[in-house]
Amino acid sequence: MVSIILQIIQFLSILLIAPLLTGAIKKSKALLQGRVGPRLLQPYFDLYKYMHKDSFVSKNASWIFLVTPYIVFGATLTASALIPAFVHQTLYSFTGDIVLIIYLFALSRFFISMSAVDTGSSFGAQGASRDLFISSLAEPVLFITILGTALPAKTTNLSAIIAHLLEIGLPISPAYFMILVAFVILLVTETGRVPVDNPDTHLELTMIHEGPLLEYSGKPLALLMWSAWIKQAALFTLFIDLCIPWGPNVSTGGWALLTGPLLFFLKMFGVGLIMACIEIANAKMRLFKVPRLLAAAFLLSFFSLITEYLL
Amino acid sequence: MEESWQLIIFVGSITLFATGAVMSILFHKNALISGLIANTCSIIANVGLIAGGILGLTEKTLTATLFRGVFSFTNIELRVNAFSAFFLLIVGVIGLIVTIYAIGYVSEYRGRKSVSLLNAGMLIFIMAMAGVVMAGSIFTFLIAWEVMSVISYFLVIYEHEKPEVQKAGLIYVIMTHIGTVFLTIAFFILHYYSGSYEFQQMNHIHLPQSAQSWVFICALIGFGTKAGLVPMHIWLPRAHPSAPSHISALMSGVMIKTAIYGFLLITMQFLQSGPLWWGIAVIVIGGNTALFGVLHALGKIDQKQMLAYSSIENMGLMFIGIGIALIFLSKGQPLLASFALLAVLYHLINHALFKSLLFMGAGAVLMECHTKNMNLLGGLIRRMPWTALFMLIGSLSVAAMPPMNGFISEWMLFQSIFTLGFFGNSIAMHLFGALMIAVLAMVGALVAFLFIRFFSMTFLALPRSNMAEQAHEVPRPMLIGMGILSAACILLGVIPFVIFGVIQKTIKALVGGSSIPSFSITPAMVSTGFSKISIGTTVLMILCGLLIAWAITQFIGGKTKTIRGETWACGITLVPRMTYTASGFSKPVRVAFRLLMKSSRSLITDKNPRNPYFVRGYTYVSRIPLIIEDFLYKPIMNLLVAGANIFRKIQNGIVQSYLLYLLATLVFMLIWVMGR
Repeated sequence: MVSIILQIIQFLSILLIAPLLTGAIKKSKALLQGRVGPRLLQPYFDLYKYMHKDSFVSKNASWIFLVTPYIVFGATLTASALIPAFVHQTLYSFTGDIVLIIYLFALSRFFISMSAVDTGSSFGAQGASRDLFISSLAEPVLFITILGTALPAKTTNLSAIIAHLLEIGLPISPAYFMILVAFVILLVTETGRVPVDNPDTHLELTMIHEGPLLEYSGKPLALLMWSAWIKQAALFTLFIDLCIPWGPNVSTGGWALLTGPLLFFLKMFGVGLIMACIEIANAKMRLFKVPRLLAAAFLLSFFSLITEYLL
Repeated sequence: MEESWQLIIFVGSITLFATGAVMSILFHKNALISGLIANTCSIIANVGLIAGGILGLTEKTLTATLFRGVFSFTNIELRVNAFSAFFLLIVGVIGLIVTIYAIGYVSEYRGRKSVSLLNAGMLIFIMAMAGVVMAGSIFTFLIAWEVMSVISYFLVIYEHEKPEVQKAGLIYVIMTHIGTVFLTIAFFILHYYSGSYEFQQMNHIHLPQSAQSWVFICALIGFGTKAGLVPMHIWLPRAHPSAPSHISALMSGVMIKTAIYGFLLITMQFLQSGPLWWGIAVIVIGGNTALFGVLHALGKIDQKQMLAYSSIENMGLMFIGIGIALIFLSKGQPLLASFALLAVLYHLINHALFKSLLFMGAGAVLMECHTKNMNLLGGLIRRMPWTALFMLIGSLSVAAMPPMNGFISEWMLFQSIFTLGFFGNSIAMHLFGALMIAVLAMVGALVAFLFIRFFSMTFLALPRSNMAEQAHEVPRPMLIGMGILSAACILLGVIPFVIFGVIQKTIKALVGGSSIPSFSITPAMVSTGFSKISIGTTVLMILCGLLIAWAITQFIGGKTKTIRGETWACGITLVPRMTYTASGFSKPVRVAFRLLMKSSRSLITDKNPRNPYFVRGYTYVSRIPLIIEDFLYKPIMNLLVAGANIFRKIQNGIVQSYLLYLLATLVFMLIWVMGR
């Protein structure tokens, strides 16, 4: 019973803390750049504001445009519910594995891209085209990076992988650091951050993830923004699960009930801070240079698979 | 008793197909009667195939000699076991739905071409495909195979007044016959060692190692040609788009699957298993085919060409699965091999369903807009709402999006490769598995890209031509055909276990073995670490998510309304010319993969001859060469032509020189004989 309550808390906390994570990254970025920046809680205010605004829909848009925000929200929520955070089981971990999680994210990308084209706006279609291009390069890297941990565990079920990782302990070896670097590159790519994408811009030349959302307003926009933030939090959780899983075992009860989640959120904001640092230290990359970055990540992951045997 | 019923059904269906075809041609003067006869015969015969297929899903094998030839090897033999019954079911189901669709679609050709010939061709085509999987001897198989190839050739060149269709047909008929040559060789090696022409005598035969491998190589080339494996694929992207759309649906949905039937029949039923390199070779070829297919599909703006390349990609995926099964068989792991085969056969059903659906949709669009060029389409979701909905379902399925059927088979394929990766703790397998997973993931993501492009460029945004603007919804029979397939795509995704029983019997007939894996976790699977998945729960979760989204926007958000207006286009009115095109949408892929695809772009400047400083116009030309043709087939062709030129000098048409050759030969022979 306790574990089920914990799992529900885990699910809801990811859902609710996702905007705060975005706010924290924005704030730390601003502070590092010597600006004051928006308030920490600004994303929540944004969501509230969007929900009270009328929605403007293009005359050209079909029903695809209207259903997309809901499907994206549903798929993202489902995917994030499959990723364990501070409890090693999730409500749904019996039904899904890493392949399903990745494909659920792909499902939301599918609908966002279609609705981007739907309005007839070239900005949207351009963003969708670039997003799909980058994700088709990032997906193999994501799979092969996760494989580094999944193959020794002999399963693709995330809960089982984490259980296995905690059992044998993560070996601090060259392979581990290669995976770490590859995963950070992936996080940058998948959450649309500099140097791959610039989350703060609406410029035609630079935007990738922002482009498809350009035609949305009001409640649908709120849902889509929130989904994007949840996805970011879910990916960070995945990174923490597979690369820095240490911490008290919450299921033992007692103080661990408190320190476990606390440590987890500390890690999450830590990852956010690293993202902010990467963002301010780099310039946006040319679109066609991104494959090289991802190729580097691919090779790192692949070498780490090799070194697991050599060392 | 049951067996005799089954035999009657099969013979009846075959007869009905043939009768329908003949009657359709006989009554060609009256389009109504001719069409009625052909369609009725086809529907009944296809239902017969389905019924026979279901009856055939037992452990028994039905064999019968239908016709005794002059020589023993020309006997027409029939052989149906659970394995061929599975393929019969696919032929029957897709044949039935295609027939329904064709009732509406052939009106496109009415008055312009002979519809009764087209109908007759379709009937014979379905009959031949059923014949291939029912064949019980080498002779029967090759006859059915040839009928299937030749009749599909005639169907491909149905619109023979177009020169590109003629060329497509020619290349198709050449390639398919090259394939048949290799098949004949493979079968005759098998005959040599088994001493029989009947398939039933070839089950589990023992061949010397080298003969076994020769059979394998010949089967791989022969069936690979039909399956469209790279580099034998060159006919497929030409022939499939050239045929009428419902024939394309049959060719992509069913015909290329008979290659998988044949390949599995030879490698698994006859030879059982082989050395490790077979599996590796099949996986490598399959992986290459998948990647090649999807990349080139992204380079095409012709809908049906794009779908044809996507078929190549899917055949690649299936051969990856077959390769994994071969590796497991060679390692003595029938259970793991059966799981890989489960993935392959499930994907085979799925591909038959969604690829037929997509070709039907492309046919519907072609019928209304008279173009296959995606750059000239757009906005059809308003003019053709039902077609658009069905195509969306088809696109989601082929892109393996959960909870569609394509996702299930993709997931199982991932699991199979994954098992291969950690199997036996060998570093080579580990890395090979990892690389193949990367290939599969990349193909998966690119397919999603491909079908987002297909759907949105055809059905969304603004119509980019008059034809697209004036389209209408297609006739009801076509919608019914597409609707059934769409429903099947969803059903097989959400409740996949309904069909597993059928596939399990099939695999049992093919590989044998006592325990057959199921999709849900079984005790045997736990030890090997399979993961499990429940799509029903996932669907429920997504629906919960939708509900939460709705509740949040309703309860936290205020009362808002939706305003309709123009799309913002930087202050000017949006016109269709400004919307993104299919070529533009996939441009990043063309640029990033130009090393692999050899895609090139050139700018032609039309200068004013009197004043070169003023330019009259620019033309951008984007080109993706047919690399395999240029680098593999062209040199071979050139070599052949050069060789022929040398021999032409000998054959100069002068009688005296021929007499000289005779004399020289005679002298040479005499010397040779005397020398001995």
